[in-house]
Formats: sequence, C-alpha cells, structure tokens
Amino acid sequence: MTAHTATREQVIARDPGLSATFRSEWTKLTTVRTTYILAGLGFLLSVGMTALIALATGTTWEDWSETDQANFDPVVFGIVGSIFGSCLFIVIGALAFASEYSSGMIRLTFTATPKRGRVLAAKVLVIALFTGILGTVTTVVMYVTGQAVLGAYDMPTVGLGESDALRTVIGMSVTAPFFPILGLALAVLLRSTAGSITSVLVLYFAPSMFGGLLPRWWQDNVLTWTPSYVVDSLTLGHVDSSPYLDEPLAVVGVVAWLTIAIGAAYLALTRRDA
Amino acid sequence: MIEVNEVTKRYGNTVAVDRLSFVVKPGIVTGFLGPNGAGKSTTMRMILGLDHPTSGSIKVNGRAYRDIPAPMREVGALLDARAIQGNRTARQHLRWLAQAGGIPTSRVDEVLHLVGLAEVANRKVGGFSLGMSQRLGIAAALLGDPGVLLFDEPVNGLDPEGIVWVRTLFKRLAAEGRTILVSSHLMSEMQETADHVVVIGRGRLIADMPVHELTARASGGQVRVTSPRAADLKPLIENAGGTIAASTDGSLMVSGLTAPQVGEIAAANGIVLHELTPQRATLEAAFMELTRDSVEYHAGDQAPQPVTSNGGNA
Repeated sequence: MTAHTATREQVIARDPGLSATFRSEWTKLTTVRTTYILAGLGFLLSVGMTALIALATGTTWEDWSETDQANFDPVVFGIVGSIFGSCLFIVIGALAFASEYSSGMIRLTFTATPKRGRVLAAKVLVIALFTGILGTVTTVVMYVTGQAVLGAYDMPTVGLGESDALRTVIGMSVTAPFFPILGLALAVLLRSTAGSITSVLVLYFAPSMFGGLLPRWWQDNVLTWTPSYVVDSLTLGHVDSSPYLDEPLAVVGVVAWLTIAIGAAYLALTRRDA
Repeated sequence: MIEVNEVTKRYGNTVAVDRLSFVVKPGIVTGFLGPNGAGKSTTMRMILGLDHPTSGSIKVNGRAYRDIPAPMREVGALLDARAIQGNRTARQHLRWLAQAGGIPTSRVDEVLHLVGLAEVANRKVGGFSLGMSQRLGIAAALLGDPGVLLFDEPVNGLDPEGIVWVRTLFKRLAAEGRTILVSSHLMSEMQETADHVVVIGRGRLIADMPVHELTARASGGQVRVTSPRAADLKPLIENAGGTIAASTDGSLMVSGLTAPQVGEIAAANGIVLHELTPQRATLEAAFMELTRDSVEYHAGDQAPQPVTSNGGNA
C-alpha cells in the first residue's frame, strides 16, 4: 500500500444472531403478494367448502337412513373443507425455499447469512408461526361456520367448547405447520418449485387416497405411520373409525417426520454448493 | 484483504479453477479478468463461501467467509443482479437484506439514494432494467458499509452515464481504503477503472500485476519511427540489434530497441525524425495476447507459467 492511501479501520461487528435472520425471513414472507393470495384463498376455500358440504348435508338430511343418521359425526363435518385450504398453506411452505432457488436469490441469502443452518431454522420458525396462526384462525372459523349451517337445519351439532371438538380444533391448529414444513424441507432437497409442491402434495394425499387398497396388516402397521395419518391420529383419532395410532405414538410419528425432513434439509444445505 | 491460496475447484471431471493463488489488497481497484468460463464467477462464489473449494483455502480479512461474525458489515458483493425475486419493491428487497445482516433499516434509503434509485424505491424490481438491477445490486453490496467489496460484471447493462458513475464510485471506495475486486470481460472498462489486474484463463493464473505494467509488457517494447529517410534508417537500426516488425512508407515499427536508443541512432547519423513513439498496448490487446496462449492449452498440457509482477506489490 502506498503512503497516501487511506487506511480503513475494520470494526468487528457482532454476529446479528438468529433473531435477525428470523426478522429477515418474516419480511421476505410478508412482502410478496403470493403469500396473501394463498393464505386468503386457503381460508376462503376451507370455510366455504365446509359450509357448502354442511349445506348439502342439511338439505338431504331427511333422506338419510336411520343408520347413516346415527353414524353422522358433526365434528368431522366441521372441518371437512380443511383439505382444500391445507393444500395452499403447504404451497406457502414449499415456496419459502423453492422461490429462492428458482430466482437464484438463495446466494444473496447465504451471503448475508453464511450459517445455513440458521437460515433453515429461521425459515422453519417463520413458516411455523405464519401457518400456525393462519391454521388456527381458519380452523376456528371453519368449525364455527360448519356447526352454524348444520344447526340451521336442526341437525346434531357439537359446540366448540365440547371436548371432542376441542381436541380436533386445537389439534388441527397446532399441527397446521406440519405439512408446510415438510414442503419447505422438500424444496431444499429438490431445489425446484414444481418438484417440491408436487411431492409434498403426493405425501399429503396419496396415503389416504390409496391406503384403503392395502391389506389390513399394512393399513394397521405401515399406513398409520405416513405423515397424514400421524397427524389425523391426533386430530381425528377419537371421532373417525379409520386405523389410527395411539396418541403417544402419533406424537412420536409427528416428531420423527419433522426430524427426518429438517435433518435431511440441513445436511443437503450445508454440504452442497449454493 | 482477500487471500486466495492454491484453490482448486472441480465439478466432476471439469476443472473450473486450478491451483489459483492471488491476493487482493486494500486501497486499490483490482480488476479480475478472463474469458468466459475462465472461472471468475466460481472464484467469487468461493470467496463468499457459497461454493466449497475442492482443495486450497480462501481468507477474507484473515478468516474464512463463514467465520466472519457479521459478514455484511465486512464484505459486500454483487454477483448476479438479476438473481432476485421480482415481486418485491426495491425498498422491501433491501429491507430483508439489511435485517439479515443486522444493519439498521434506515440504511436502506441511504443506499437507494446513493445509487440513484430513490425515486423508484417503491417499484417492483421485476420491472427494472438491467442497469437499474445493477444499481440495486450495488446498493445491496454497500448496505453494511463493508471494507471488502466484490462486483461480478457490474457494468453490464449500464448506460454510458452509469458506467462513468460506477467507475467514479469504485475509485472513491478504493481511495477510502477499501478492498475492491471487480470482474469484467470489458478490458477497455478495466483500463479506466483498475489499478491492478488479476488475469485468469481456464481457471489458472495468467497475470497478476499493475495495469500499466501489463500493457507495457504486452506491447513487446515496440517503437514507431517516422522519418523522411526511413529507408536509410532501416539498416542502421538492424545493425544496432533492432528488428523491423513492419514498415509502411516513411514509418517503421521497431522492436528490440528502446525509443531513446532509436533517437540516438538517428541523431548520430543526422537523420530527421517526424515521430518517435513507444507503443503502449491497450489492456484489450494485452489480454488477447495473454489469453490466446491459455486458450491453446488442453487438458493434460503443461500449465502456463504465470506472469507475475516482480515489484514491491508482491
């Protein structure tokens, strides 16, 4: 360096920490219109489809057989539309990483925060918080709407405060981030928007669509451990007749799936070039 | 200060960077030159810890990039100005970045103003021209007021006014004592901007020296002489050990002798000269000459001997 060149004192700044990464990721999620479109559409579909199915049930109720009427469970009919909204909430999770890979912005993210595990943790927390709140609001509104429609047709209803309903509504609220986080992890592994959305939706739908075709032993011992069944064991195990896990095992299942997904994503993130 | 030490990067059987070593010093603008595919972007990604070297090590301010506690406050980078999500406004884009780096968000409007994007701060960046995106990328690099700055092809897409602005900005940043590494394939631009150049070809170091030294060397020390008695001068030059590289009527291109030597020969023989000019190659010509050799190398051939400056800057 020549004598006339200015020297610059390098101040060693402190590590901004996980909270900075969390704030940054929250800003990312909440500054794109896609998030609001998916959230809004998911909410409307869940509530709307639940109301619509309740309406269809109400108008045909008098034609139902005695046995069908006896087997009717108002709790299940209070959340029946959730499947439509959940698909879109899952997409919010997958896009949190997939959109950064498709645009190439992931490199800017990792330049700002080279500790990639911290970026993953921040995204998981942001998606968990966002879809948790979204899922809770959606579930409560959907349930109350569904019961109101059923009530209007003088059909049996279960109030939100009753234990059967509480377990389902609280369970669905708490587990709302489960599939969006799986989608987020798959997006890291596949680095593709289409690939990650497709694979997480297959994971979401395939077991319940095709599981019934499996032999009984497989249904009881394998199907029950698939992602959608471990969640449903917690939220619907007490009202639905499908093969489900006991609650403690279901909790183990949920934790295991999250651990596998987040762990695999962590390994991929830290070992691969960005 | 950036220290690249014996770095090799392989993708399968392809060697993108081959035992590359160089140092980028503070206080000057260092140009990073090479033909397309030479490994410039790969090297920059490795400096930033995005790609892992197959072997070798890179230190920024004495540490690996990922060990810097607050990297945005020490290092700023513009890699690919288009690699951002288009559905955020310029201000929103810089806001998440500032938050990630632990930088006060008040800095966002400062850098937007600095790069001339204040008026479009609330426009979606997807609608930006390439030149505007480059300015946004430069704003992002400057967010943390870092002492080390890397720019990969920053003048791409800029209009002439933008190019002059970038050139002035880089020189000012260097004068403030910062370390500036700028890659480009526009040699003419580097000639105006860079004080020092690192030239690579096929992932290998070709040259690492001050710009003026590189251009002087590449000219091969030729001297242009114009004289009404050129025909008489020609044998005298050849007798003195010079060679005539080219001659048109009245004008000779001499190599092997310096301009003063040619002038003295002419004076001793009473020959009038109309022109006596040492030829200084453009950086572009120097670059072509250097990389022509590297392009001729094929896998398995001997590595080219890097040309390094033997002055006080080593």
